[in-house]
Amino acid sequence: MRHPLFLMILTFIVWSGIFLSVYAMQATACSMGWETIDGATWRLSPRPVLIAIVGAGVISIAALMLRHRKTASNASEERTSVFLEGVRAYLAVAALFATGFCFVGVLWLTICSP
Amino acid sequence: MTEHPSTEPNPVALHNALERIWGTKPGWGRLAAVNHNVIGIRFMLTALVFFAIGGVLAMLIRTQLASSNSVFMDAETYGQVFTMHGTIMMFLFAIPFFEGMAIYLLPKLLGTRDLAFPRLGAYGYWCYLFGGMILIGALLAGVAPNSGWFMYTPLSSSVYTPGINSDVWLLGITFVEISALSAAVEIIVTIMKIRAPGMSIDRLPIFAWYMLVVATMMLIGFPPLILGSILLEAERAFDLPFFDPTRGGDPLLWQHLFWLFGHPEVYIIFLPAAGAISTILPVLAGTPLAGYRMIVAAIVAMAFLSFGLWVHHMYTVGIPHVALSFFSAASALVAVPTAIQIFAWLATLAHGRARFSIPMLHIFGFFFVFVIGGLTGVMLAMVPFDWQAHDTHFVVAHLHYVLVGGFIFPMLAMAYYWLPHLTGRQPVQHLSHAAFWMIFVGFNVTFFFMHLTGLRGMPRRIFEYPPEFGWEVLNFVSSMGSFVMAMGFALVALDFILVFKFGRPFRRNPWNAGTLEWAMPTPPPSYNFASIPRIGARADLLDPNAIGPHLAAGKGYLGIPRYDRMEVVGVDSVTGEPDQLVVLPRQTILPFLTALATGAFFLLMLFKFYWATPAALALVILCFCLWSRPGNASFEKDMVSIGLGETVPVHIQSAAPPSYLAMVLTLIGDATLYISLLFGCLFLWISAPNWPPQDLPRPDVISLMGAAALVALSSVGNRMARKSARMSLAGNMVSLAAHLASTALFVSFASDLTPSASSHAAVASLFATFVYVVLHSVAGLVFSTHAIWRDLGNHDRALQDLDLRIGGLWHDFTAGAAFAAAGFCLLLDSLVKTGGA
Repeated sequence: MRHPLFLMILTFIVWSGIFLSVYAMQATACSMGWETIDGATWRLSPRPVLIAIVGAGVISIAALMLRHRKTASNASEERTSVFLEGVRAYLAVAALFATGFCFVGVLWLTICSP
Repeated sequence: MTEHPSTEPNPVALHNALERIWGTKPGWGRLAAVNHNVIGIRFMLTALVFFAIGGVLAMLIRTQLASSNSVFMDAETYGQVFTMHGTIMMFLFAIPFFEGMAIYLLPKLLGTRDLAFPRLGAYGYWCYLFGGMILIGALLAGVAPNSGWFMYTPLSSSVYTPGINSDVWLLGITFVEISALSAAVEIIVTIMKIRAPGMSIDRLPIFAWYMLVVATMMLIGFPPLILGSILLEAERAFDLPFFDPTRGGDPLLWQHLFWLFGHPEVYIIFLPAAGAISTILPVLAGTPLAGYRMIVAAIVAMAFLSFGLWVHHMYTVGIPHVALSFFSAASALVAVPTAIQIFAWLATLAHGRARFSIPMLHIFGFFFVFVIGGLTGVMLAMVPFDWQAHDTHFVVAHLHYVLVGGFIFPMLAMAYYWLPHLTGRQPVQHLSHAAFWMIFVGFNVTFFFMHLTGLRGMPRRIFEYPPEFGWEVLNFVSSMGSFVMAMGFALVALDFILVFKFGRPFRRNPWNAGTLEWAMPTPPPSYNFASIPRIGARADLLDPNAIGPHLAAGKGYLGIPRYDRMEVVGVDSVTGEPDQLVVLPRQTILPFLTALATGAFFLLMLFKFYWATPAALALVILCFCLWSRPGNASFEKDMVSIGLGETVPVHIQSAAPPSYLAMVLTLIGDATLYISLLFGCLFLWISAPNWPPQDLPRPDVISLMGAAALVALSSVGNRMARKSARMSLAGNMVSLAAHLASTALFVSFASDLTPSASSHAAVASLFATFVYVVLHSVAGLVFSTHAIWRDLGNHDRALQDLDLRIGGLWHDFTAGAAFAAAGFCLLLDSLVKTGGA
């Protein structure tokens, strides 16, 4: 999957992956009562796992954001490449902010109580 | 056959030759129409008829609620009326109208002659029309859906709605959604592959960017709704308890599936309208759109975020704090890309000199109404406020501010803007101002006061209320406003009729726009452009007045008709450089017949003639197979000239033909449905009561993996067939045999579950998963049989290769689905046995 449009939206695909993983992890953990299980058992308690998922997501998006690609071989392609890079950069910043903003609650909100 | 002229083409002769090839024949020939102009206009006109019906229902609702303890309608009638109002406006008006608009406009804006799959567009239209007729027929017969446009279970389940009312919704809407999905595929492929040479991705008209995003959202957003409808219909028809909590189901599963579609749906409706504003507003301001690149990023971000906030419709169902925070934050965040677009439009206005024409007036109406709707949306995104306002008329007011502001006002702006294009006449504008002010004032009187009604506690969907609750005055004011608004819409209709009868003729480009739809005669000829332009700038900064005569003289690409073929240029999706000549299929009645057969299938389901449905399904498959009959057109094996000194291969020889991309997209939509099914079943394990079941019958591991391996063998056979012409027949035979065997095995797995499938949702989930694989394997059989037919018929090898590549995608996907089904079966069994511990 090296299509420029795919690479353009990759950071938000990662954001979607974090969203699904965090929501699925939280729901599964609460359903199975993992919040009440002693941390010494083989299962981790849900909060550190949720934080780890979000942290890994932030690092992935940041890494993608810093990655620059230069593929243009002529002026026309250069113009198109600059455009796609620009949109990609905007989306990367937006995805990074969205990740922090949407999932910061894993740090302190109750995991399983409605 | 049209011969190659050796001299400069005569524009009139060229027009006549192209019109003969691309035009729709009169009389019964209209049933064979595939031209995007015809299909787009049909979509829009049909949608407007449904809008009128939905509007009349709204008037009935407001009449009922105008006074307390009204006896105008009883509860049952009121239930049908408000359900059908919502259903018609969302599914039969808003989405199909913009589909029609996109079908009509996109090829013109992209500088080409038609969409990538004209027959698919025609099929989509007929499915939409027939599905809509089923719903309206039910309304006239008094058996219309009555459980709300969102069909929440258990109200819509057979226990509480035993008649066919809910079946009409579930089957009718699924039928209509076929047209939405086919439009999504067609729009994406057209934008990616069928456009004027030189139109690189950074030169797309902004409307095309919007439609690319919207169509992708439809491809991902609609399958969960289709899945939910199938599962609920399966529960109603065959007692598979997906939503019945007494047998391991959960009504919340329906809410998740519905709102996974339902919330993105709001943006699916808003974004095309926003795309139209981004096209119209710079023209009326006389300056280029500010922040083109930023807007592209904003709409992509909006598309993703819109899929992360479906649960904000479900705040009150009992969700943990941390999960609420995800959805609340995403709901607030989605306001940012919306605001970016609004500020870009304001910046455009600030840079230019706005013309205060009728379209601009409606754009101002949009700004006012939509911004209020957006702000109340942010209020509802906040959990504590939502808990107070949930299911009150405040929410009704909010959604109307968003949808009417976000769609109706822009729709009227674009109608007035493009009416000269459709009719060849300019508005006289005697009634337009009065109509606008009646709609604007009527709308705000209706719905602004409804916020207050909601804040005073009036719940949604009640058909009467006692006078002492203090809601009567506000309701009466709202009802009065709604009648003023309805009169405004009647004036708009009259205004349009006057334009058709008495509008002023004009020569070209009355708004002095920079987009390509004005570089053609109006009303447009069936082929749009006598020759196809080469684009040297962004596609909304062009000079149609100069380009139009040049193209009409046949001086662009494909300025010479060839072999009576409908030809367009295919381009590289990023650079926009020509990479193939795409030969489109000619006019045919097959889409109409296929839609009739599809309609027969849905009607048989509706009236519970289940025994006859396999025959109808076979008829649908047969009709689709007829689509691939070789026509009279033959394809060149060498490079062909497209004019301006350039040569390209015909699409069947190309590395990236449109049909291949279409299959990839179809499978993405299909995969979304399958993933929703698997996740839905796992959701039941997590959240539904009465789990685990006492017993989960399942096939043994060896049989399961063997059946999945057989499906994989069909992929191996396909690869053998693609390797060489000599191996083709043998490979396809292997593929066919593998699919036959795997179908038989998965049918036997499903049959073994049949006796206990209604006992528990876990068994029903396994059953649904196996049925999914069976249906895909049967389709794989069709692909393999078709490939063998090509082998035996000694067809063009390039055509066979393309079919095999497309079939290969299907076989690979089915193999993946079969292994996923096997894995899911084992996982579910393990969870049931261990309780997930």
